[in-house]
Amino acid sequence: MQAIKASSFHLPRLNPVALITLAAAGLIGAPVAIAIFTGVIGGGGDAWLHIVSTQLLGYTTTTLAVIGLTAALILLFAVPTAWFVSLNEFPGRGFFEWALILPLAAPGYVLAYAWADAADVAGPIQSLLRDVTGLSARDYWFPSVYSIPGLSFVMASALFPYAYLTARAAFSNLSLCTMEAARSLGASPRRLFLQVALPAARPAIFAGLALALMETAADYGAASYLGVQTLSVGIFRAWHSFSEPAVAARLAVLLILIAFGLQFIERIARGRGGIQQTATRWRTPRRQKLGPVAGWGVAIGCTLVLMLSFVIPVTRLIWVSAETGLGQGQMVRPFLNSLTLALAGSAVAFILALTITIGARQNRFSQFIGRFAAGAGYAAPGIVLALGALFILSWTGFSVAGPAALIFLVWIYASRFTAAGAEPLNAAFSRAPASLGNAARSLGASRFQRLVRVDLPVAMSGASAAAIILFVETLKELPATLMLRPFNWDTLAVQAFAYASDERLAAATLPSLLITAAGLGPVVLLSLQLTRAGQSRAAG
Amino acid sequence: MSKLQPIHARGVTRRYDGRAVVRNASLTLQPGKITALLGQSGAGKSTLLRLFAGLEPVDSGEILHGDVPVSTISKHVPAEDRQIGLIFQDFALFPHLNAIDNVGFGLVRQNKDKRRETARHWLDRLGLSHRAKAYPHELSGGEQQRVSIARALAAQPVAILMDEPFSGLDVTLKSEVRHTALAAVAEAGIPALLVTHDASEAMRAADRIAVMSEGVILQEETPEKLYLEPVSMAVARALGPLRSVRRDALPKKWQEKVPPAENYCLRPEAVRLDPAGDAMLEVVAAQRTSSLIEIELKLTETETIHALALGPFTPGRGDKLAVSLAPEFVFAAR
Repeated sequence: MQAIKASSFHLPRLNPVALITLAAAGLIGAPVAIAIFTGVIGGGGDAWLHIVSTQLLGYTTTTLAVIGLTAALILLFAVPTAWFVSLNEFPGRGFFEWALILPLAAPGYVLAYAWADAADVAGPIQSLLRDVTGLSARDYWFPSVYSIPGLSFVMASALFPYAYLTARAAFSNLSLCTMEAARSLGASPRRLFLQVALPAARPAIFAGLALALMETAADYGAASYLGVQTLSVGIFRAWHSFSEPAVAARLAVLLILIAFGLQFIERIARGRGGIQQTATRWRTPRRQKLGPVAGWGVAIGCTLVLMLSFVIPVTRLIWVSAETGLGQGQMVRPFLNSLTLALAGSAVAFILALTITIGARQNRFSQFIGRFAAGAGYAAPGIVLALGALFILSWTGFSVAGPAALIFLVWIYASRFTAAGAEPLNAAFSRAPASLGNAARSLGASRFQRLVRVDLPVAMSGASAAAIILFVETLKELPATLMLRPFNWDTLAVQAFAYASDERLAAATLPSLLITAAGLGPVVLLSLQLTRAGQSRAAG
Repeated sequence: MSKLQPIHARGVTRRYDGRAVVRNASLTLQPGKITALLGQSGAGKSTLLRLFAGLEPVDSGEILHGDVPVSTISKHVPAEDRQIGLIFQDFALFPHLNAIDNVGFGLVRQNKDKRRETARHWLDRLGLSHRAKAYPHELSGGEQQRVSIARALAAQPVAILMDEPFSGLDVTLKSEVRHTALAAVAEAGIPALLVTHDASEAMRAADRIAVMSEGVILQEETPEKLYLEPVSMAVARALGPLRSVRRDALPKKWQEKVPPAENYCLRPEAVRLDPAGDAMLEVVAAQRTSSLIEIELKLTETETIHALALGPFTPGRGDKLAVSLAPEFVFAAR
């Protein structure tokens, strides 16, 4: 029997886990910290004063208007569909349950190209309208995609699945006892939804909505293409067209403030400490079968959302691509570049996510510092992080055109997306009992043994979801790639953007479709995984 | 160090944010004996268990294995070096390992074959050899808890500490799992601590019971002695239900049987249905609760007492019953 080591001492703070987490947090948080630092202390000079007097108000109000309108559209798309899919039975429910996540595969800028073409005066929608009504183009008004509502619609189409997923999970997790209690008190289905289910799911819905809106604020590709002057567009223009990185950094600080503001509003909206299910005998509610009229009505509604957000734009891209021939431009190199960068970026982000997730389990310091850095990285738009990296590149004397830029790009991907990977890993841990670590300690496992034999295997159950999310997010990333890629190192996203900006939309369709196709497989896999997990929980 | 040594807590205190959750607690866990730590939620029971386990340092006092200090203000042997088995309410089975690998987790010093053999032996001992390949989510609650007990015992701990180990189990499973588990623990001959808020569980399972309230150990004794000779009303209440009555509400003959005091607390078994009883009391209410009948008897216009009875017939309201008093179940309220 092993003798007790009487001399062992326990120092809770200065342990290797805290130091490694601190290093990971530093790596994640450095670009955003540098961008903020430069923005705050760097003088913008006359260029900044000019921007303040001419553009700043416009950039800010436009960004806020896009965020507000997108929020309303996301709620309209996500909440009713999630409610019906989770708690009601209607024709095609099983299909919509996973298919409504598909728009995640298509980036906002790709949907913007597709809708701009489809809804154009010469596009198929207006042509069909004229054919059917016999009107000429001057006889009617048709909404323009090149506008704040147009951009909001495109962003809501691309991002509503975030809120749909969190709302669906929240509705599925409603306690049967709560629902039955409400029903026994005479609540109609409408009241059940508005006064019981919706307030209970509100924290989750707002969490998903906040993520989607941070992405909306961060978007550069769609806004730039549709000519909507948001802060992201202003930052890129200040850096690229006016060569004023200090001004860009100042605008970036404003954009970060908006992102933090969204997080703050989400906290407030979540209410006091959230709403928890307290019923000890917890059972998932059985789905209510809708009548034929209501059932088909809901099915048509879900079809409409799926058509507008995914099927119509993607079909249009396929159509245009097929019409103009697939041989537009050389796609093999950009495809391989995209794949290489996405794999490298998601691998680094995955390792960092794993580090901070495991660190968070060890002590409060690691938990705070890891989550803070990852949250800051995620809140900061890619364009801001890229700006931070460019400052570091210029201070260290590395060339933007050289391979060092690629390493910086991978770093920026990791900084931006680590939080998205940490979420599923964290969920895997939260499903495991909190006493696991103590049980392992009582069986003599050292800190390192606990990491290898308990923490890593437990985290791995959430690994595939984390890896998929990271890969898809990295693949779709545009602004940071645009700013940091070395010369001649185009990715699909960059190539699509370049063709679309040159008004060569036909040429932009193939890279756009390839990005969507590459993202589609992982998204379908993730969707099926989430749906299966929901079903097994409901059966359990 | 021999594993058959007592473990002592001597005057240990633990504070969270300046508030003492365990105050000057002293308790000895004897080899081969099960000591129950009984108290309400927030009494400090689990914290004292964590101090014994080495999961937390002490703020004052000391914990000794035999005569070797393992926790003092200046020294702390961490949990992984103490060889103390832990059993949790939520079982804490490793979700990525099947039952046999969970049991073998702590046996890293053994080669693979020996480890399997030991794990199989302990699964067999807990009646689970047929579930060796099952993963935690495939096991019932009772099976999961038996695997966690096999896992703790397989590692040959110097003591075993159980934190509400049976609370998460179904009522029908509880007594069966408790019986199998505690028999295996007793067989190991090591000191064992059972933290529970359930007085009947502590009375059934433990050789000694320590009653804890607001971080303080109020009394530590054998279950029998603790039940019959509590040092305070708080201890008496922790062990079972009590009914308060004024002395002058009791029948005259009963007043002569109990020591002088203004008020008394009576256990339900203090009042017995007895054809030769020295008092006749009227039934206010009576209700069968499975094998026992709970009867409420009228003492005065405003006071009643409770009695328990066995038998086939439940008396009706207004019936007069002959009863006697068992003074050993009457405590003078101070």
